[in-house]
Amino acid sequence: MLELKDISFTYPHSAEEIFRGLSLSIEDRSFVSIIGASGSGKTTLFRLLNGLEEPSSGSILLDGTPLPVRTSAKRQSTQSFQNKLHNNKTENKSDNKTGIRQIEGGPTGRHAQYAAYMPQQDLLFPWLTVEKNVMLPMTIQRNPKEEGLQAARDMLARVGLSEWAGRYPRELSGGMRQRVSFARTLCAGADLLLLDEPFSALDSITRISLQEWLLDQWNALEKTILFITHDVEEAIFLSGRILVLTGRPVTGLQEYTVPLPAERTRDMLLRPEIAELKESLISLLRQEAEAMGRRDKSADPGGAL
Amino acid sequence: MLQMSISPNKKTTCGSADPLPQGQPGKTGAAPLKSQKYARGTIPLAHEYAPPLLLAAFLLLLWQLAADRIQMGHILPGPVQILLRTWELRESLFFHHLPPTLLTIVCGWLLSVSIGIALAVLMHASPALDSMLYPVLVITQTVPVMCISPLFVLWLGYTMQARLIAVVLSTFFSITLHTCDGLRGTDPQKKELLRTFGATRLQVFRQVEIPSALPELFTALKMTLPWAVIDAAVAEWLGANEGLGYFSRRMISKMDGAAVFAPLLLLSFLALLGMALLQSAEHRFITWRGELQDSL
Repeated sequence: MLELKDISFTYPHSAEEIFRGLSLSIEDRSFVSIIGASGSGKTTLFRLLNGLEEPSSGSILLDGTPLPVRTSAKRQSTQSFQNKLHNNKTENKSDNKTGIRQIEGGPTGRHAQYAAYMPQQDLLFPWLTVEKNVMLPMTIQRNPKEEGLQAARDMLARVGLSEWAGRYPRELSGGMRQRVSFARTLCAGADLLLLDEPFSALDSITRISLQEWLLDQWNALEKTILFITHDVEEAIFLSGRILVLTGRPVTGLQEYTVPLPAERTRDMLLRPEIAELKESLISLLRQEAEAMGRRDKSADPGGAL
Repeated sequence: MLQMSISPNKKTTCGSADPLPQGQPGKTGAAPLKSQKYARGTIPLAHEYAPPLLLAAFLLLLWQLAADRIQMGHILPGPVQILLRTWELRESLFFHHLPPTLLTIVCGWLLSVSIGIALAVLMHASPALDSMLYPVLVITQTVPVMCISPLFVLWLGYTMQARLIAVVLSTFFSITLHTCDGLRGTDPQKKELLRTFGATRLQVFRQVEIPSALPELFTALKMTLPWAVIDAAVAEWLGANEGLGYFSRRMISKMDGAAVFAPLLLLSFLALLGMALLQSAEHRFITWRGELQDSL
């Protein structure tokens, strides 16, 4: 269970508050989609969850314990390294209000052990083979090479790309690259997967087949998936729960439950209650977009930073 | 929302004849995308090299005709005379004057590459060092090497060290600049992705920044190698008692035109050879130049 309690957040050097007193909770092994107009704070939410940013106030709790929590002994080396850096810099300050460590070079993915991030663009490294790309999180966490390679091969088998292990990303199609990117995300060994519009750059046929594929993966894996999208239909098809970020700053969430079983097919989207859900989501998003447009217009154009 | 600034530097790959991603002809097999066109990669030689070779042959022919007409071999020798003279002087050129020049070029250039890269890494790692070093480095580049080289000779005599300084001074800055640009141009999204995996700054440097900077570094290497050749020769002109540059100058005082050209022929050949080696190394190892900017 992941809980955000009373989170407020403003980017450094920015006057605009993104979140104010936002709370939400995500149950284990659920598939939750987050939708919202562009600029509504979806990506910021992910940056908070994977530790690239820290909240100005409020706390992020994992099973009731504030982050960071180390769940695996494997990361011990990384942890002790970070501790060392940290201790050199700031003596005994680990109980600051968020309990989050900061090391030189900006915030690191302190939460890597519980959350793994999959970006919108595949961001595969063109100088690494497919399997080296997949094992990258394990390389970073200083696992033995054999172990990482084995894990990468297992993950590639899972996403059905075993025979591409030794190839380079440029030889793969867009859909295949996203599957490799997903395998890499799994390789981070986290229970929570943060997927940031992973299919938005794909053509619609590929997108549909990858949505079905992802649903199968989620049913087979014991993972929690948080999925950002701006596609209402995609959110409905994939998730058990849909959260809509509203307002600016975001103070709360509109929450919808999708009345479909976990094992679902595309034709279920034609049910009347689904059509109704889709309509209400779309109208909510439209209202939001209009409100945001009004806000932007009323803002003094000369007063922008 | 905070979509990270999309690659700030739209780099045009300067100096490179083919900035496109290089598919690997043999390996693509059933690849679904790209690189089909490399099927014709079997007979590229005649195709690519014929036009420049034709032009070169034509120019050489013109030169030869002009030289034959003017009939003043000590001022304007034709290509044939130069080749003949090179052959006559082979003992002295290849065994006496080529080795010191080659040594100056290779040592000077390698030194310059190491210094250049080291400075780039330091400047990349620390903004304070960057703002401290950069203006000083720019100043070193405003000094014409040719004019300051005699000073090195005064300090160090007719030694290799004096010539090495000249070579390093004229080449390291481009290497620093390009390497630094390459390191800075790293896709910020890739760096952040690694951070979400828990990467330290050193790991980010090794895993993304170095590979991202390599194409830029190769551009710098290809740019500076001919400069190193030229400046080694110039330094020998200005103060040496051996080497191809020194030989060329001595032949001028003897009014032996063909013998002035003979060492230059060797120098050009050296530069071309070096470039070809670099080019093939780049082809072999740096296959992702075109892919660095393909983020949407």
